[in-house]
Amino acid sequence: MADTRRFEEAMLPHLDAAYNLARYLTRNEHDAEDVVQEAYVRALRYFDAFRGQNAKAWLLAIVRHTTYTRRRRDRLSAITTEFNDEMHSSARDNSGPEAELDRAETLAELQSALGRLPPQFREVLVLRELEGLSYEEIGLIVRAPAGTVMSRLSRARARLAQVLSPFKQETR
Amino acid sequence: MSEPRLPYYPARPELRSRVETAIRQPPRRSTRRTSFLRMTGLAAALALVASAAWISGARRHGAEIELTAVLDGHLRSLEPGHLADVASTDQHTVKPWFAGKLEYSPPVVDLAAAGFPLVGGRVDVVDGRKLAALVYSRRSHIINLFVRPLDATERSSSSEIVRHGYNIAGWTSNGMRLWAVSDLSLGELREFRDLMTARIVESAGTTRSR
Repeated sequence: MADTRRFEEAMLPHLDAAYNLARYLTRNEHDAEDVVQEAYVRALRYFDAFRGQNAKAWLLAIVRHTTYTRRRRDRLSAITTEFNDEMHSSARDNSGPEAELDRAETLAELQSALGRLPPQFREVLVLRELEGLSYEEIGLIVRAPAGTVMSRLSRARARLAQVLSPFKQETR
Repeated sequence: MSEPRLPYYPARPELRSRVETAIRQPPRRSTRRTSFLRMTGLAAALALVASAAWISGARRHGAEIELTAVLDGHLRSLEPGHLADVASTDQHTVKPWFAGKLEYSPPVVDLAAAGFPLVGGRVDVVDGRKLAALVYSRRSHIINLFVRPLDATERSSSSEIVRHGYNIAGWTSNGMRLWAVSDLSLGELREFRDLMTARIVESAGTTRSR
């Protein structure tokens, strides 16, 4: 295929971003790698439709879509675990001197808290905090207006903060 | 005191080579969707010039893909917790459940009196399109009945296939394509198919005249 080289030049630089998003959405390495491979094959197939806009956002939208269609296909119900207020409020009650946790414990807690968020929250957090994308770019990927992205982000942060107190989630 | 930071997961080098291999020589059947899209794309391009004989060949090929997909769907449904999204023996519960989930209304009939009680239903995705899956049982055997509307160019046909020890009956009735998959004997599966067809025709013919 004549376009493969052009495709590789545009899309392969974003492999880490693709994997990182898939890793957070699927929550395991194996599925994430399968998602990324499938997403790249799909992206190549639809590359004719790519008009040289934002390659990263275009690719990440396909990664996201691939994750969700695979979830439907495989019925990986494990991906969606609804946020449970009662479960998380108990964590807040534990705040006190003994809650000065060491870093490793906090990181594990953060990851597990993030893993329990619905994927719609997880994806905006990852795209914003780890990829540093703009609200508009995130909107392209998750197919929502920038305003929706902003409100989703603040709700996601609020939920995380609730779980993670006494550590305040920094919002930028 | 610093904030805990989310870790960034970079791709392993192995993934890079996997992806490069996959996009440099797209595998023929890496996923069902891939081969289905390629197949229909190819069929669409060639249909302009191809003879009717060629088209029927492509159609047989498409049917082969669907056959594999429904068998996969059956096997997957037997995994714990995957059988039915709406579990009910009542056709008047199962049929309305599909409303809004599909762009068509699948025929849901009660065959309990004939020894095939309804178990429930779910929506499967086969080759990128949604398909109604109805679950019936006979003794301890499960029958998955997959239903979709016929494509505009699709003709009526029927077939019986044995694969990996499962019997699969494919047929068309009243504008729908149906696939029944089970480990029941072919004889019992035929009985199921014939009963189903009779009831579909009956319920379509007479809306309410009994």
